[in-house]
This record gives sequence, C-alpha cells and structure tokens, in this order.
Amino acid sequence: MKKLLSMSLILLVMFGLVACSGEDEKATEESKPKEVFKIGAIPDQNAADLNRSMDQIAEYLAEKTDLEVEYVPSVDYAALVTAFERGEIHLAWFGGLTSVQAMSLVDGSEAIAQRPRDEEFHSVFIAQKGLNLKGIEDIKGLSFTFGSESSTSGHLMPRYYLMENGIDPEKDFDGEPNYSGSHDKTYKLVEAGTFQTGALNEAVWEGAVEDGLVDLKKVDVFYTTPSYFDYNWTINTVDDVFGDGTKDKVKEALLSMGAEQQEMLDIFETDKFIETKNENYAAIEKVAKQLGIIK
Amino acid sequence: MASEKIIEVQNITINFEGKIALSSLSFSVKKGERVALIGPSGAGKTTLLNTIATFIKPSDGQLVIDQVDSSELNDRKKLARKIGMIRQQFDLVHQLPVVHNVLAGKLGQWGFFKSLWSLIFPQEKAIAIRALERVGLKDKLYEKTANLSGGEQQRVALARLLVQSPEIILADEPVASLDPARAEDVLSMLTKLVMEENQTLITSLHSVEYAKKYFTRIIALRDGAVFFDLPVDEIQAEDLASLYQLKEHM
Amino acid sequence: MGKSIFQLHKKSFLTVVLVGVFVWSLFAVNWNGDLLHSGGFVTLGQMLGALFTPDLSSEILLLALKSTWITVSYAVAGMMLAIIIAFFLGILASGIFFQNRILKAIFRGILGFLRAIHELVWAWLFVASFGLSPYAAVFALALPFGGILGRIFADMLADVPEEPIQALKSTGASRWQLFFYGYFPNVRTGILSYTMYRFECGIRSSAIMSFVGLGGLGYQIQLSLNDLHYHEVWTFIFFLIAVVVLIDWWSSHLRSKLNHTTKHWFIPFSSLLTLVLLIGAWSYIYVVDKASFLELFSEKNVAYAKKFFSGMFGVGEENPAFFNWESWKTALSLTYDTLRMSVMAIGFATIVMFLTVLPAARNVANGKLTLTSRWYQWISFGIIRLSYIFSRAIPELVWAMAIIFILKPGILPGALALALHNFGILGKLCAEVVEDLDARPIRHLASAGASKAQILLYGVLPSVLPQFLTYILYRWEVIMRTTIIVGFVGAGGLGQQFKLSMSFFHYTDITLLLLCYLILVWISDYISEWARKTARY
Repeated sequence: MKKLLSMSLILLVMFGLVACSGEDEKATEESKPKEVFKIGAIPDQNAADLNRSMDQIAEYLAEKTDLEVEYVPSVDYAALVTAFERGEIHLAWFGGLTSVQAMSLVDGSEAIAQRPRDEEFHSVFIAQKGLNLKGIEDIKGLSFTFGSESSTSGHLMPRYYLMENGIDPEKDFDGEPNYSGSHDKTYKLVEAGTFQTGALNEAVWEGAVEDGLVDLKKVDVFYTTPSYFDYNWTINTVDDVFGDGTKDKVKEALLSMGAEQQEMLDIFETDKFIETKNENYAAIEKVAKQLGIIK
Repeated sequence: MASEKIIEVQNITINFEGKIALSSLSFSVKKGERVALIGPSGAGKTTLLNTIATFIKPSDGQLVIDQVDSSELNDRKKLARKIGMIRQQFDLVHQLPVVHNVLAGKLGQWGFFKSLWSLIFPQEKAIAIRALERVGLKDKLYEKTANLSGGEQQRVALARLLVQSPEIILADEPVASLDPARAEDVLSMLTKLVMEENQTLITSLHSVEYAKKYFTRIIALRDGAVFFDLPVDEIQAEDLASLYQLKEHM
Repeated sequence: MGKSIFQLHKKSFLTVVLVGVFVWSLFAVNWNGDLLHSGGFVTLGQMLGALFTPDLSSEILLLALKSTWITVSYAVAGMMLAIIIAFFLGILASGIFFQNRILKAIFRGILGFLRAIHELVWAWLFVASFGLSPYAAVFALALPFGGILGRIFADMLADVPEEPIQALKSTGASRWQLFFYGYFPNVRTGILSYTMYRFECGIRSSAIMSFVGLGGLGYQIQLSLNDLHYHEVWTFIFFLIAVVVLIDWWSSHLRSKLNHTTKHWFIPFSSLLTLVLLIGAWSYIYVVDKASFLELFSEKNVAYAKKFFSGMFGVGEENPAFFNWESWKTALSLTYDTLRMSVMAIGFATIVMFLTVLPAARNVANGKLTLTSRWYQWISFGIIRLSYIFSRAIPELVWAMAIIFILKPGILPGALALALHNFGILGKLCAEVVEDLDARPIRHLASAGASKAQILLYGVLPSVLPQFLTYILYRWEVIMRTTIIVGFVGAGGLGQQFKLSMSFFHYTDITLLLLCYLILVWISDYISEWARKTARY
C-alpha cells in the first residue's frame, strides 16, 4: 500500500504537469481578446470601506466608458506601484510619493485627476490630549508613528517637516519611529495609547472626526504642516491597450463625478475631482530625493 | 565443449592503497565446473570474486571471460548475461516485495519504462513464479522481503539468479549467516540448479565440509596467492591443515 | 592530564560559551528604558479580551473557510513541486549517479542556497518578477522546501547500504533501474514520512505568503489587524491553529503507521486524501484563481524579471549600494543587530522550554518517572501542551504583527516574536526527549529520596542535555533564517530595512541586504554544526 501511495504521488506529479501545460494554453488564448480595465488604490485606509467604495467606482467607470472594469485590492503600497509598472493596473489612486514612483517607472503615465484639496494638502500631527503639546518642537522625546513608509502625507512630508524643524526622526524620538501601515491605524494607535504621537493625512483625520470615529478627549491635532500636492488618479498608457481615446474617456468620467456619486466620493472626503498634471508633483519628487527615498 | 575455458585468470595482481590483496594469481575454470574458494579470512576470496565480476579492475594481469578480455566488457547489460552474483542475504532490497526482487534479474534486458511500469504491474510474472516455484517459495510472491527468514531470503536471491540466468555464477559466502541446516539447504539447491542449467559456479566458503560435499574443485587462497588448486577427490587432510594452521601461527 | 580535564568539561565549557553569548545579546536592548508603548498594556488587554469573543458571524466564518482553503491549496501545490525539485536535485546531490565530487558539491550548494533564503523572501522576489500570481506563492514554497527535502533525500540516498546495489548492478541494471529497484525502495518510507512532517510547516508558511499580497489566512489576519478588528483576527487565528493541528495529527499518525511492517487502512486512506487534496489544490489554482502557468513566462514577464534582476545587480546604476562603504556599514550594523536578535530569541525560547519541559512530559505527568503523582500534574500538562500548540501554530510573522502593537520597535519585539513561536516547537521536541528517557536510573534516585530539583540535576539533565542542545542549535539555525521575516512588519533588524528598500525600489540595497542575510545564515549553520559536533564527543 505504501507503494501505492508513492506511485500515485509520482503519477499525479506527472499528470499534473502534463495537464497543467495543456489547460494553460487554452486559458491564455481565451483571455486575450477581453482585456479587463483594472483599477487599484493604495491601502491607506480601512480595507473594508475602501473595497466597497472602489467596487462602486469600478461599476461607475464601466458604465461610463463601456469597458469591463475591475477593482484589484492591494495590501501594500509598493505592491500597487509594482503592479502599475507591470501594466496589471491601468488606473490607480496614488499618494503623491507613490504616483511619483509610478510616473518615473512608466513612461507616458499621467496624473489626470485629483481632489480640490489635493492642491493644498496638509498632514496633521496628533498627540494624546494629556501631553499638552503646543508646537512641533515639543515632540522630542516622545514615541511616534508614521503611516505607511510609502505614504506622502503619512511619512514623506511629515518627515520632511520634522527635519525642517530640526528634529531627526531616527534619533530624537523615544525609540525608533514606527510605520503603522495606514492612516486609520495611526490615529487608532495613538488613541489606544500605543504611541504618544503620530502623523497622518488631514483628510482622513477630518473624516474620522466628522464620523465620530476618534475620541477627541483622548487625541488631538497639535501641528499642521504647510501645504503640498498629494493624492491623484494616475493612469497607465491605456491607449495602447484599449484603443485611442480611452485615457480621455476615463478622465472625463472621473471629472464628471458629482452629487449623484456622492456615496462613492465619501471615502475620498470630497465632492468632485478636478484636473491635474504631472508637473504638480515635481516638488514631492524633490523632497523624496532629498530624503534619499528616490535615488 | 565441456573442456572450453570460460574464465581465465592470468597473473592478476590487485593493490589496495599500496597493500597487495592479490599477487600474480593464475588459474582457469572450465564450463560447468563448480569451484569452491576456501582460505582463511583476509586471504583475498572476496576480492577475487569481485575482480572476476569486473567490479574491481586488476592493477596488473589479464582476465578473460568466455574468450573476451575483461577490459572490453564494458556493457553491464551484456555482462549480466555472462556473470551473476549472489552474496549474503543483504543483497536483496528489503523494502520491495519478493516478486520485484526476483524480477530484478530481468533488469539487464528490460528498458527503463518497462521496469518502472513493472513496479506497479509486475511484468513477465510467469517467469518469477516459475523461479520461485523451483526454490520452493511460490506462496511468498507478494510478501515483503524483509519479512522473510534468512534462508528464505537467500532462496529469493537464487530465484533472481534463475531469472537472470547468467553463464557464470559467483557466490560470495552465500551461507555465512545461516544455521547449518539452512546452509545445507541453500547450498544443495544452488548446486542443483547450477547443474540443471549447466552453469559454471565459483563460491567462496568458510566450511571445507561443504566445499567437499557440493563442489568439484577447490581453490585455496592464502595471502592473496593460490595455496593449492585441486579436484575435490585429490585433497589431502594435510593440505587443509597447513592452509588454516599457518595462519593461526602468524 | 590537563587535556583530559578539558575533555571532561568540554561540554560545560560549551554551555558557558553559549550562555555567555545569550547574555551578550541581551545588552542589545536598553532594559532601563520604556520598552512598552505607553499604551501597550491597554492594547494587550484589548487583544486578549477579544480572544474569548472571536467574531463568529457567518460572513467571517465563510471568509475564514475560504481563506483556509487557499492556504491549504498553496501549501499542497507548493509541496508537490518541492518534492519534484527534491527528487531531481537530491539524486544529483547524493552522488549515486555521478561519483564526481565537484558536481556533487555544486548540487549540494544549490540545495543549500534554496534552503538558506526564507520562503517569504522568495515570494517577494517572485512577485516582483512574475506579478501577483498564485504561482509566486507556490514557487516560493517549493524552492526552500525543495532545498530542505532534497538535502534529506540526498543524505538518505547516500546512506543506502552498498550490498543490494552491488547485487542489482550485477544483474545489469542501468542507473535509473538501480534507482527505482534499489535506492528508491530503501528511502521511500523515510522520505515520505519526512515530507509529511514538513507539510505542517508548509501550511504555516503558506499562511504568511499573504504578506506580499497573495491571499489566504495570513492576508485576512493582516487586514483585520490593520483595521484593529481583534475579534476577527482571533477567528482567523483559530482557523489557522485548527488546520495546523489537523495536519500535524494526520502526519504523525501516518508516520507511525508507515513505520509498521503490517498494512493499515490509514495508509490507503491517506493516499486517497493526498490525491483529493492535490486535485483540489491544482484545480482551484487553475479554475478559480485562473492562474495561467505559461503566462508566467510571457515576453512581458520575462522583460520585467530581467529589469528587476538587472536592477538588483545594479546595472546602469551610478553608485550601487554594494559598492558603497556607507551602505555596507549600515547593513553590517543591522546584520549585527539581527544576529543578536536571533540569539536573544533562542535564549528566551530555551528558558521557557526549560521551565515547562518537565511538566509537559507525559511520563512526568503520570508520575512514572518521578514516582510521585499529583492530580494537578495532569492539569499543568494539559495547559502547557496547549500553550505549545498555540505557540507553534501561529507563524512568527503573525506574532510579530501583534507584538509591535505592544512593544516599541527595535530588536526586542522581533526576538520575542521568534521566541514565542519557537518555544512551542522546542518544548514539544524536548518533552519527547524526556518521554523517551530511560526511567530506571531516575526512579532509583527518586526512591533514594532525591528531591525534584536533585532528580533534575543528577538524573534528567545529564541524559537529556545533549539532545536538547542539538535541538536548540537546530532551531537557532531556523530562527536565523526567519529574523528577516519579523523585520518586515517593523520588528527591527535586516528585515525592516529590506521592507523599506522594497517600498522605495532601492534594488541594489536589497541585493546588499540579501547578501548580508546569506552570510549570516551560512555563518550560523557553520557555528551550529561545530557546536553540535563538540557536544557529541
């Protein structure tokens, strides 16, 4: 019987290999003609909420553009950039830094739309209420968490303004700074007391305050950074894949979102999208280079 | 035909790391002879058998098997038709059922896929059954080899030789680990089968008793050289005494 | 004379050195500072509170079931490929086909290389070159497991007794015939039972593949942790524990049946189950995941893989990190930290193991060994064994993800995560050593009136310590490979930097860090082998 076991294993292995190569050929041939337009978003917020809204946006885009649109969730900022580079994601909601990374990796990719607030975006520094912090220089000696290391408003710009104010994030905190992974997690960790201070996206913070998700008796903002350009929809070289004019169609669809689509716009804390262009992000690129994040 | 020399050993010398294991050994064996190799431990019996089996290349001298020089016998498949070997029962694959160990005698003639397929559905099973019948183990066809007794295992090895059916059989201490009753049983069966198939047999043995009883000729080795080489009926008691005694004095 | 005293105390000397190294590693942490986050305890409380109220809504249960199946399919498919890799490389590395020493060494080297790199690092490399395909997970599992199985396979083949092989040779068998009629039947049971033993590890590894974005239980655990939904986290963790325990039971039961000479219904049953799992796993990957195998090697993927690897080798980069002294300095200091992390981890795991191993042994619990039996001994036996299962079934990465909520970033959380996962494994292995102990001398001591501590010192320790040491060193090697993983989630060391470099697409930094990692793994293998040899004589 042992023989049977090992023999069946060997046979299976062989059949498996044969079968697999056969089926695959078919699969590739069939999947070729129907290319799906895939959209993605950096996972900087509660995954469940993000998935729901992005699925709705996929539906909306499909209706407006006659493409088959699908949302592909992603657990990691860098993974989304990589997928974009590989052409597996055609349209992505990026942060400033990730969009700069994506644009430098894919020639011809373009930032097409953003929220009005992204033209003048801010990060907020939050702290536990009892600490009574007045300004950014008070943060020395406390424990601190960034958001994702790939986030503009959760890492890049907070780090930049910390340095500008003479604070070295690697030395001046109580312990090394943490990377929580997302903005939601940052304020929740500070609220729970895990960290004394943190920095996050202003829009996410305002949303949390509005929806009562954060207890303002425990946590509050003590510093807001100067403004910078942040989030945008970056589109891949889709005209090559889906035909000329696809990019414009998608852009048009995004820009025409309004009150009717408010439900799906809520996650972005906005009521519409406006036009943007690659050049708006030159400053971000410069900061990233200065901090050694982009070489 | 009967006088045809099937093995010719000419001045064969074997060196192992500077030590001489066999020194300038010469003899020849005719077809159908049953030769017993005797001699004290370390005399070079196993080395000699391995040399004839072409497992060991002689440092010097010449070995001719059925008129072909051993250096030309490179094809193991062809060689397997000429020479078969049997040793202590360790040379069976214990994890395989008896039938595969017996059919292993056919490996020289089978291609790769046939032998692989045979592990699942035994091929040419009739041959295996016949061979096992002749050694009296017909009922053990699918038994796991490890579950057999020492004597039975040795009979399985004989069945494998029957399937392989080479012209020459080399047996290296085939009964060393068996009790006297089983040893006699295996030896009588071995010699009987060899006679029936008209094969040539060279066996190394510890027991002079058995050598006299079952063989036609005795070659005694001592320190890697032939001490005496006589037909069984010409051997004197003194020859044997000096063969083993000398060793004890050393 | 002096030499013989050294011989007598050689083991004690080794022990002192090992303890010393552990103490040295502790200095890597500033114990006076606040190690916990200011609210670490609160978070811990929330997490533990959720332990008893896992989310059992049908939606979550269904999701957990589906994720469990994904995890199992990847593990099954990965193990199958691992067996194929192990089969061919193992044969080549065993030297049974070619006596050529150089060839043998080359194939051993390849196996060692496959084994040295952790499956998650492979996964990352595959995702970067193949994209987010289930094959990335399957291959990432197949390579290191193929390396481990192949090494064992090669060793087993090399140990096959000479005689039957010689006999088969004389029947004119060709190389492959020799293999299938001689070598393979000899090692079949051994390799089968080792593969089954490894299967359980495969499940755990498969669960953490999610970390690079490849679904499964780990993915759900990570998502729920990110949203701070601890109740859901526990649901998924319980599913993971259940599947690990189930597989563990299956594998150990099958192994004990394989070693019997008589046939047992469990063996054909297991063959059937294996068959069903294999078919299920592959069809899931083809049909449901719609993963195309050939597309992996499409022109596009080849181009990306080429780009990725030329990036890693610094093609076209002005100042690749591995030619930069500053980068080396940072990397080496991280390497040093990582080394200390691993030593600290095995040290903690060993301490907990020593504290719990006796009550965890069945022959202690039932009083057979010490001749004293108390009712509460079975309770402590049960509790400790349960904690072992718990510790073992949860992968280091998941432990680390949870611990960084409580402890400040640095080496300590990484070391703790590694220790938490390994004390269960170490405890189980060592408790088995105690269970196999010859009870007669111990009972003699007990009947002579020795106290528990005296029994431990004079009876148990001397007979079990060498075996313990072997296991400890062996686990240390494994921990070394895993240090990089816990770093991914922010628990310090090389891994953390690796993750950052990945996020910033600093490819040559990745190469440099991998290089340091490999050096570390090789050094630790070497030291561990040396120490085990010293302990043996």
